[in-house]
Amino acid sequence: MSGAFDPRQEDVVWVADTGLFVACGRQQNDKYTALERFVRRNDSSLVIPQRVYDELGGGPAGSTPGQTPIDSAIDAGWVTVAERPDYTNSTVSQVMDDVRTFIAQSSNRREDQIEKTDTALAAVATERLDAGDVEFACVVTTDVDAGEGTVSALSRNGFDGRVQFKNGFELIEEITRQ
Amino acid sequence: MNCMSKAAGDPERVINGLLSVAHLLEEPRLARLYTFVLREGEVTLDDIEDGVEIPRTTAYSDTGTLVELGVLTRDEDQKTHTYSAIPISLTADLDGDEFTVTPTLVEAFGRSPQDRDLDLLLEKHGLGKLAAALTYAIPYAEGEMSERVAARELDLQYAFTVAVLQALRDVLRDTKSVDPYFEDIRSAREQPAQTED
Repeated sequence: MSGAFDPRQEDVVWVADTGLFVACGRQQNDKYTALERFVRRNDSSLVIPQRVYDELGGGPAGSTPGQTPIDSAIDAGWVTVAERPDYTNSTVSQVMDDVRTFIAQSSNRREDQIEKTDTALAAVATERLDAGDVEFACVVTTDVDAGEGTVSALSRNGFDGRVQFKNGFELIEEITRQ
Repeated sequence: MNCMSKAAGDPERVINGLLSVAHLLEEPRLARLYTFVLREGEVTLDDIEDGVEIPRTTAYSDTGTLVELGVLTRDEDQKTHTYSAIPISLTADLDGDEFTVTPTLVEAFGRSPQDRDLDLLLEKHGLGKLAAALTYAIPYAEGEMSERVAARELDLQYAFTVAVLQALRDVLRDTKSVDPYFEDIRSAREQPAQTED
């Protein structure tokens, strides 16, 4: 994990990616219970971009994402869908561009092969920090490029030290070990 | 027959080897048995019965098949016969498109009946897509391939791609140390950026 603050202690928004929910559901899906317990113990809610919600809902029948109980998690209140990012906010827009550049380099692709919506995690984190809703943001994803790109871009755009990337696989290991 | 040994260019050996690998990639049970033996080193039928959880008669006939295919060897010197696996490496080149089949692909295929995501991928898109997904899982497992880039280029639903990549990440973790040809599997990260302009 990068960054100095302890996301379990501070005033933090947890922004979660599709891969976290998929990883919880693969093989035995008892990992969902552990995730819910973890979120509730932190007296918080996982925020997901609309894009993540759409992706999870679009999983083919019979696949792990096709069986993700995301709607019941939202109904139960421990997962919240964020509003669509405001692309006219110049900070949000700049962060998204920077994440795109980061992912392109990291995945060895041209920048135009990375879609702006690939950076939805970073956009949601930026909006929350920019609005002053929270002091810190922690993005949880199994996509290392997206996670590292978010930290890098936010740090360069005035939020240095206020964002962390938590690897989704590591989080699941930690919360299922308890 | 030892069609997998690294001997001189012999057409008969090459084609027989090709057919053997194709056979191995048709029946997940055989694939699973093969990679089990590869991982364990030297095993008896008892070990196979316990480790792969198949009835003895199946273990007996499947090991016979794999010995005939030239991917397992049977040591008959001792009272209890033992089996060992011959690591396979088969490079196919079709009009310039190249892929090397190694035990890692065999392991991924053999795992499909126990993994709903790999199973669904094979059922809907076939073995070729599994091989393609593997080339993305290689850099993904190293944190050098974004899930969304992989999904777009594999032309699969995004969350489903993530599930497949995560399944293959587990496969890679288990085969990296036992597949001597692991480094020969293509990485989609190396693929030159597509030239559509």
